[in-house]
Amino acid sequence: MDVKNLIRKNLVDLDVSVEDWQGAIRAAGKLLVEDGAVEERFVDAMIRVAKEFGPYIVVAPGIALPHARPEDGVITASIAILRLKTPVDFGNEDNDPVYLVVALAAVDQKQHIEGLKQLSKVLGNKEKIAAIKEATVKEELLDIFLDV
Amino acid sequence: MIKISAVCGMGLGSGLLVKMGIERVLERNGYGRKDFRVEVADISTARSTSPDIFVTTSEFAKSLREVDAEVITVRNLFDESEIEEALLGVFEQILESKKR
Repeated sequence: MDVKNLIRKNLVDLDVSVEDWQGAIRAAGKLLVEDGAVEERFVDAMIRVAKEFGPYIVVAPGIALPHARPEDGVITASIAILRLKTPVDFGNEDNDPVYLVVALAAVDQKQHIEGLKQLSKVLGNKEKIAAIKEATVKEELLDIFLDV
Repeated sequence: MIKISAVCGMGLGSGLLVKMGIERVLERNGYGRKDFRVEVADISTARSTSPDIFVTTSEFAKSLREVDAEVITVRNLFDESEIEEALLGVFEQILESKKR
């Protein structure tokens, strides 16, 4: 599934204030819930997974990829992108603090692979990372991810 | 044939990212399907996949301490140059030793 089908405008938000890492996951989860992409229990599941396995979900410097299992209430394969107003620590020595939360709702092990591939091209590109940090409106942030 | 396991919590997110990165790096260096295979494994079943190389994050590397395989850790899963630096030397060494 193409990244264009996974990320929608209402799944992107900028400069959101959160208290801590759980708040960051909840804020990204809220976008997914309001979109109808997941049931509410998916948000709790993302936090449970992060507690269970530790802060490994911080997959790159400043970037967290929280997710849970398809059976934790995913309705539509989706990705929510949230840039935080102030970065927060997730407890990952290598990659804290986190300024970007990319919440992944997968329906199985395959459908989101193509989208994830496109996403990794964006997040592996230094210029695009700089653009993500500098975006001033949602549309700008969205375009960076869709321009692949 | 080198068997590589990309290990993460559930086999849905970071493990897939690692797998994609490994495939891109090895293909760019001229290796193909006959040389390697990458599987995504979740941490609960990773040991039973018995690969030549595990690639994972430092969190999961801790629980793979006593395995009979190389364990490579990466910090930035989107950074192909980091994956290349950590993996390529080890990969080529094992490939060479299997030819002998």
